[in-house]
Amino acid sequence: MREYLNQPTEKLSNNFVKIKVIRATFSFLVTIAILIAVMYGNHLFIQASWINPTIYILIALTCLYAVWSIALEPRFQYKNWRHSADEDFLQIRSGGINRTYELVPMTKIQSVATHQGPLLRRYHAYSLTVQTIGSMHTIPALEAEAATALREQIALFAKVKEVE
Amino acid sequence: MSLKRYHPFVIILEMATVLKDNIFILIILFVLNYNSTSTIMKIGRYAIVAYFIYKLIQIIAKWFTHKYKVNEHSFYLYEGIFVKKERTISFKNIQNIQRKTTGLHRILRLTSLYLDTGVGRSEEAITFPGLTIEEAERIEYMLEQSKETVEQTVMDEDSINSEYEVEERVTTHFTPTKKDTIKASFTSLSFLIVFPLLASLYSQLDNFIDIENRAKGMLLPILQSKITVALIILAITFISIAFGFISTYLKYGKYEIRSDEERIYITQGVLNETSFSIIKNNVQAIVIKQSMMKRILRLAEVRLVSVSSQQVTETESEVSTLYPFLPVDRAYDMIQELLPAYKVTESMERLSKQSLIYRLLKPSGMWLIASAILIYNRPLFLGMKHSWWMMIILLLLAILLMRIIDYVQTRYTFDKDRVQIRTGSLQTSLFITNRKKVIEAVVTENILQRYFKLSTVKLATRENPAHYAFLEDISINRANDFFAWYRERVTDVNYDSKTDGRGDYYYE
Repeated sequence: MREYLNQPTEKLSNNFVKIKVIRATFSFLVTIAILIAVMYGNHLFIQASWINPTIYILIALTCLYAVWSIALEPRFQYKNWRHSADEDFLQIRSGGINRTYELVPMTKIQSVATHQGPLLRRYHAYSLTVQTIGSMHTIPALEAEAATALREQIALFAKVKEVE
Repeated sequence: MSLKRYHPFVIILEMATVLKDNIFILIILFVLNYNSTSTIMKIGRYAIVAYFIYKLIQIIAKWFTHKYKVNEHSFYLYEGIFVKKERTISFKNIQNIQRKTTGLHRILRLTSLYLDTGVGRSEEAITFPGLTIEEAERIEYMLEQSKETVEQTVMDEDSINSEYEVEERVTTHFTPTKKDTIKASFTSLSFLIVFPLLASLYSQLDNFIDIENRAKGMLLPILQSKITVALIILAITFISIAFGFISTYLKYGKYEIRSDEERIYITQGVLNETSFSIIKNNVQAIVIKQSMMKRILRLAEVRLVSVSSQQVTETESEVSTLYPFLPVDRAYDMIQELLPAYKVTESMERLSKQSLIYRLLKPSGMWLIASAILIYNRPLFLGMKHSWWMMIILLLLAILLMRIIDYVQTRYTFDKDRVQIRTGSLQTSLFITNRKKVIEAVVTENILQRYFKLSTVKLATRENPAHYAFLEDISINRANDFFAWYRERVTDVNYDSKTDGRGDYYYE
């Protein structure tokens, strides 16, 4: 484990796992539906012999991936996610298998925004994106109050500019 | 200051570009198929003539409608034939100035200016395709003046004679000697171009005359004499070296790196003259690149990472390199002269033994894919039956060798306010920057790296798009040190007092 001062401490919204599971299930079902539609279309119009075996392989792969993306990934992500913002830096630590630690100076942040789609609204959560000169950082789900507070906090800290 | 149109010769210049862009179509339509009466060719000819007339009208209309105005602190641009557009660009936003004089410019006694606004997209930059030299100098002078007035207000009335001093303070750091150019022509290997050129010439000729058959009677006796063959090879080599030297001379022969307190000026080119200036403060990092050949000749290419939108064409993006064939020692000294903040230190740390083991064990995607293809196809190299699996082993050895070389050459250091990273196997690159110029630090670890207690450090500096420097496989402890070091950047940075009120904030 990492030992340095000011470790990030904040977690994602409690509902993150639910949100992520619903999202992953939904995209799994859509993918399967598209694959079956292609198979049916082939059966009706084209009748090419190579299409069906390809689709079977793709369905098998999709199911395998679904095990990861529905059953494992959301919990992993939730467990390993930490972030925090102080006067000088925004810190994000994420990932259980491939780990990433990001350290972004507040003065380099150009914009901060919260978003809420229908699914996030259902769970009273927001996602928060931070845009810097070079890249974008997203915190996928936060409780409504936590999101607003963090957004205001970052916006305040990011106002300070450096003299080049 | 009154509104100005661009120089009328801009019409000629722009028409010349249109012609140049379509030269191949013109040759096909009017030269190669001169006698052809096919309908496609006829339509093509009318179409291209119509296109040129359209372009001519457009360019003339553009000349009538495009106007500009310069006052003490801004440019005002007016453009648009049907939709009118007005732009105001403050001098403060101009990052780099580039002056370019092509052969045609020289004939017309004009020059062109490219002012970089650093906003990313190239259309946001200001281009003056044709300006009289006096006008270009006037604009450059005004830009410089505005910088000075800003500085003067900052430095109080301390510098009444500053104008004269600034003029004198411009020092020349580098102009290549003949020896440098000769070395450069070897490194760039541009003389190898002669071989494909000859080959294509040969095949071109072959279309018209049947060389193969005609030459059989002629070539065979020639090829049989060893001396003649040797002479021919010698002649070809000589021609290629001469060709390489001339093309390098034209590109890098006349070269000058100068600087004053504030800016670095680079002038290059014998026929097409390009001059470029960059504000020292805008340099975000330095990358020193060395290919194999350059390492042997002890030369280096120094690139200045800066915010600029001028990745328009390749030739233009090259300009942000200082002379690409600098002798190494001179390069280090010059960096210190030009940008004292970026002093190069020779003493750097190496990676741990752990990271060598990790690098040797790390699966190689390229090798796996290549092996899969080789196993599937089992091709024969040089007619040997078992050559395919020998190839797999050879490839693996080559990859491992590269990794070892990379490991040996990788060095890094971060202390006080500087960071320096050298990586690369055949081509090395040394990245140097200041802590306050690093806009983001990221440390990543994959599962295998974690087993060996290693991490990869990624640093971002400002450029369009952001420039990333990687330091792979340093030990986790050092990565922690690195993070702690990066946190300390707050001590290097001066905060803008106008914005430090945490709330009372004015954006310019």
